[in-house]
Amino acid sequence: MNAVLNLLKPFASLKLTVVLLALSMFLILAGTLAQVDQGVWLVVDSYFRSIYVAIPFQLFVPRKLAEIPGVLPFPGGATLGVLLFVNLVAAHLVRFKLAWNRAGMIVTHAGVLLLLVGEFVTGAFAKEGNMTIAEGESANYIEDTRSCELAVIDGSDPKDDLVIVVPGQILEDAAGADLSNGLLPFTVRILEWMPNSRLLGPMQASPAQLSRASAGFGKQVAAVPARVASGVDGAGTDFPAAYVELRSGESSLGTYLVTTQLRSLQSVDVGGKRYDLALRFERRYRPYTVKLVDFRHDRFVGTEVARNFSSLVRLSDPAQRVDREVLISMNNPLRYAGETFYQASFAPDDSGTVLQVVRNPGWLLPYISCTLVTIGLLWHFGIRLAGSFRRKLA
Amino acid sequence: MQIRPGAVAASVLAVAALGCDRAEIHSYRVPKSAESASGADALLAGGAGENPSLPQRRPSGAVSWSVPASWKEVPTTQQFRLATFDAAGVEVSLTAFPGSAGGVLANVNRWRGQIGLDPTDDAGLAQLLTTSREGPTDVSLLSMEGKDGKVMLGAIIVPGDGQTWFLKAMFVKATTDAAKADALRADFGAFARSFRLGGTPAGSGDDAAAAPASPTTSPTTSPSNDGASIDARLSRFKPPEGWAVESGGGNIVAAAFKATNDGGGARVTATSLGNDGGGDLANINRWRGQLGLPPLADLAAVERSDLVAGLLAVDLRNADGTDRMISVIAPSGGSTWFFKLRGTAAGVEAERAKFAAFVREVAQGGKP
Repeated sequence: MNAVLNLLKPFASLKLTVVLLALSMFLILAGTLAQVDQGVWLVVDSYFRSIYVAIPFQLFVPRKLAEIPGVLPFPGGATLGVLLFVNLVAAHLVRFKLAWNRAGMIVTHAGVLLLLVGEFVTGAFAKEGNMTIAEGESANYIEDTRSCELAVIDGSDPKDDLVIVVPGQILEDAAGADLSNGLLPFTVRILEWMPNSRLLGPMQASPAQLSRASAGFGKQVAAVPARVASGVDGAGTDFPAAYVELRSGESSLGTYLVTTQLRSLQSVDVGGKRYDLALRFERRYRPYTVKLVDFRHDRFVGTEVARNFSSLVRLSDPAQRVDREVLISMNNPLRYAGETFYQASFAPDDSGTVLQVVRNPGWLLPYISCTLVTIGLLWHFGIRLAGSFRRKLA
Repeated sequence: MQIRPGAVAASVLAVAALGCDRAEIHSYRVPKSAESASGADALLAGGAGENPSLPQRRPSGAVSWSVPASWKEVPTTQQFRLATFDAAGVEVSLTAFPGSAGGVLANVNRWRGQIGLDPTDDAGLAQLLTTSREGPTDVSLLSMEGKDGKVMLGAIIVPGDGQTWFLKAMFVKATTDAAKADALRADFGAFARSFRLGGTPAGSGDDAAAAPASPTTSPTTSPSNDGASIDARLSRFKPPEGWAVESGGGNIVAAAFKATNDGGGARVTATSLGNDGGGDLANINRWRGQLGLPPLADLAAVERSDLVAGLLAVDLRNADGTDRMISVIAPSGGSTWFFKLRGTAAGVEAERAKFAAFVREVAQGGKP
């Protein structure tokens, strides 16, 4: 036991706590400034859920004043979080004394530890996406607009479609190279990868831009790179796109433009067999379906100001024998199968609804931890206050 | 404080191990109906038998249209909407969906619901619609007054590109003066009837190619915002000696001049486009492409010319230095002006000073 305590002692240092808190504060500052150039979720992943982050010096100096090259290597949020967790646990183990007057601090710190655990659970397991449903239609998949995938669909089976999926991150990593896999019916050569793109219509694109693709809708529209939406752009969504050449053996099957902005499937003929191709936001299929029965967009009388959005949906999950109607409105989400469906947006002319679907197994932890911290602090300061009164009365 | 490096490394490795969940290429099976006709793919695709492919953010066919001079295209934040226009404070939206998009009756009844009216039937629909044929394009216009004095103008346009286009504007009668409402109706109808399959693609001619951006073919005489003053200054501009006004410079070129000099001559053009005109970098790269130069990845890599203070200008030459182009980009409210001087190297050099004075006068209101 003493050996364990000796091992933990260096981690129990209060100086370490102060250093870690100071580093955390600096990381938050850098992560906030980074959102001038980067999207909020990219910053969350690269600054706060990473082990290490390279912070550009330029973040702290406006570009108008000076161009500063170089980066500051810095521990990421995951590293600081784990060290803070270890530091707090070690401090209690090394200096643990069970007494009424210390119980408040123990409960408070338990709450803080739970908060750290909660963020870890959220970072590791939480998933968000959108379900877009036209009125009268059903949906059984969730789209994650933060990541994309290249889907190659084999529709030869009369009953099912075989969908081969290449995650967007793999496409991005393979930019400029060939991508092949036993599942894919062809080799994908990524000629250009665009993390965010702008489409040029047939009247906008130059002939040279339209000639980049030799097959599919890329002969009618072109894509050009666009700046990735930053955290200060509001609700910006990136629309990745790519020019890919598909090859079967030595022969080219054509160069295609694939983009998340167009939902058209593009057909590819591989040795007489047809495959459909699409770059789309990442999909996660569900065993249940949600049908939009009615979407309401109520406005204040005489104005266009929204008073209420609501979606009347029919939830069907045959395996669970669920078949019921639910009204989803602002602040009244539907919770089902570990997921929460919020009313998020709507299609033009109120013709459909967009539900935000969130799965977060740790959603309750912040509430519990805040309750624990509150109880702990009330207990701690209550005892101090009582002691102070006693001394005054004595 | 004594910290053991081994213990720190162990903690970091533990975090690293937890963070490794890289997605791989994988496959799965989904029922046909789920893959092809659910969710957003089917959005507004309509009734049975329709191809439920996709609402698109931009035209899929070569459809062109003319935006009324007083309308201004504003950024569209709504998913699926192709364009949004500000018509003197009234929002006009444009969407397009494949096939018949569920049919005219269903869409009109949806619009009726939005202004508090009960659904109508085929007979009622026939009375509501004013249908006309503009070349190959079928245009159905309607105006409905609903509860709370809401007036909805709608147009259903079938230009023959396999899609149905929907144009919609809504305003409140009590708060919109009659003259404004009449003007909106006139512009709305003209816009709907201007749709045509084909049109003149921007990339077809020299200066059409020099004008990249908007899907709209705004009349060149249509000023917008600040652009009005540039337009006005351009109309008042007196060409200097050696410059001759060209006629028929192109359908989107506001003004063109032919400059004659001993160096082989040059051509000067001024073009206005909506919004950012496609973006600075895209335009510069297209100009570079016209001179056989490779595109640049970043605007920061552009070598700027100091021809006109306060405006982005580039001075480009082809590889052997014989073809030269000086271009200036002048954002102006809701539009962007592009001024170009192009010709032989010597011809452009001879006109450089006059061109700079021209841009300063027209774009910045400076003295000639």
